[in-house]
Amino acid sequence: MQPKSNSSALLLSIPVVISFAAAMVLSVVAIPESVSNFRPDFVALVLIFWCLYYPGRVGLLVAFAVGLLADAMYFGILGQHAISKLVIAYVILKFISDSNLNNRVLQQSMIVLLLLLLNVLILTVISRLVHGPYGSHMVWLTPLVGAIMWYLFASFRRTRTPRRYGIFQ
Amino acid sequence: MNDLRSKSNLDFKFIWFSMIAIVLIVLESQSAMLHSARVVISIPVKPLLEVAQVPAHVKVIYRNMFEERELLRDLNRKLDEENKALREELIDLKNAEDRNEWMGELLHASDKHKIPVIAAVPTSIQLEPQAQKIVVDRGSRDQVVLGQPVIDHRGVIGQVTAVSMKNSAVTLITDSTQSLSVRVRRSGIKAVVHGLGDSDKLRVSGLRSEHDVVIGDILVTTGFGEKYPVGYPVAEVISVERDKNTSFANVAAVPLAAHDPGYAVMLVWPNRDLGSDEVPIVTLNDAAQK
Repeated sequence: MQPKSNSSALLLSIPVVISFAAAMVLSVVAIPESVSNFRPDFVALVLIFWCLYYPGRVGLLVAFAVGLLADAMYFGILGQHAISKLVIAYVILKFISDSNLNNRVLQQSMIVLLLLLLNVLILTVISRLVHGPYGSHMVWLTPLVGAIMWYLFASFRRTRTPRRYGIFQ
Repeated sequence: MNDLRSKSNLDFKFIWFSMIAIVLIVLESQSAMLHSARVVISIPVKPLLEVAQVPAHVKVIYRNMFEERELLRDLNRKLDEENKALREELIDLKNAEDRNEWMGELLHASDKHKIPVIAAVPTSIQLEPQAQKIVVDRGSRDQVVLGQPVIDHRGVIGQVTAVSMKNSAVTLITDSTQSLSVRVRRSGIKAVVHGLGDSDKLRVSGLRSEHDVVIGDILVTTGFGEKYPVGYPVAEVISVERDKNTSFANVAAVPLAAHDPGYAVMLVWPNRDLGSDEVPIVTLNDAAQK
């Protein structure tokens, strides 16, 4: 592996920054209340994407920093999203190898569902510890919405870039 | 070998970062120590909050397309703030009546008219749906502090629970973490109002079945704990169930204040003395004159 120069590393990180920024905006922008109950954790989805497809580019530091920024963005408990995003990144980087998953959209979506459920579990446990019994049970449906979004996105991505992701192999 | 080292490095990093996060969460839940840390961390996030409000702004602009919008909007906002300040004075007058009836309360309700306030506009930012929270356009540079009460012309909205440089989050009284001490305006009986996480329902506890409370009663703040100013309307009683077995009354209420995006709310400094402290922004009387 060749060491990357500073400027190219910076260039590579631009899509990362933009995607996380967009995810954070999407997660607070005003939408009708009936829909907002089902809004998935876009920051978690983007994090899963980078960790799964480009594990070298996004590591634990980025996951932690993004989570902390998200906490500030949502005016929530500082550290709450930081630790949930950290755990997601760790689980993917440590236990999930992406090479055998690229071609199986459904299987990938299942893993995304589990990761998003883990995310909600951590967030819920922390708010319960801090605030006591809290919030609606609706939040447990958001991972499902996220996984469906992932399924659509991954299918679309596969049809767009068939060669690279080995549909003909 | 290299792979092995990077994997153990991963574990090491994971443990360190989780420890930092846990320390943050513990500090956050136990004290206001991280208050200034939040102000710093939220600086890079500020532009994102601005971007997130663009759709709502566009919607307003679209709606006003065929009007002389600048002119009308400014006039409207000015009149709205004026109106609100005037109505708050009306509330004060009503309170003066109350205070005559309740001489005992009089001692605690000193120079009410000198309470400094600042107008803030709720943004369109939508936090987690299960949290009853709004974001307003005032922050630490406007001297907003944690725990500060927020009211509008109808009554108490909630209190500030997180502050960044230019914004702060207001947790509404309907949030399930919130409860405040009130009394029935008509009969003077004290009770506690609890949020349920539902935007139009509150639970009232501490009332016994022999207590004088009926549907339509207005609950006002007691000022107990000095968090909220004394005598502001909080909620209206909508149901009273008297349970013969337990001797407690099941009372439900609706909050009187409702936040509408674009309409100003008031941040109050109830404990700040006008003469001595740094910079109170405007008093209720000043606001009325503007």
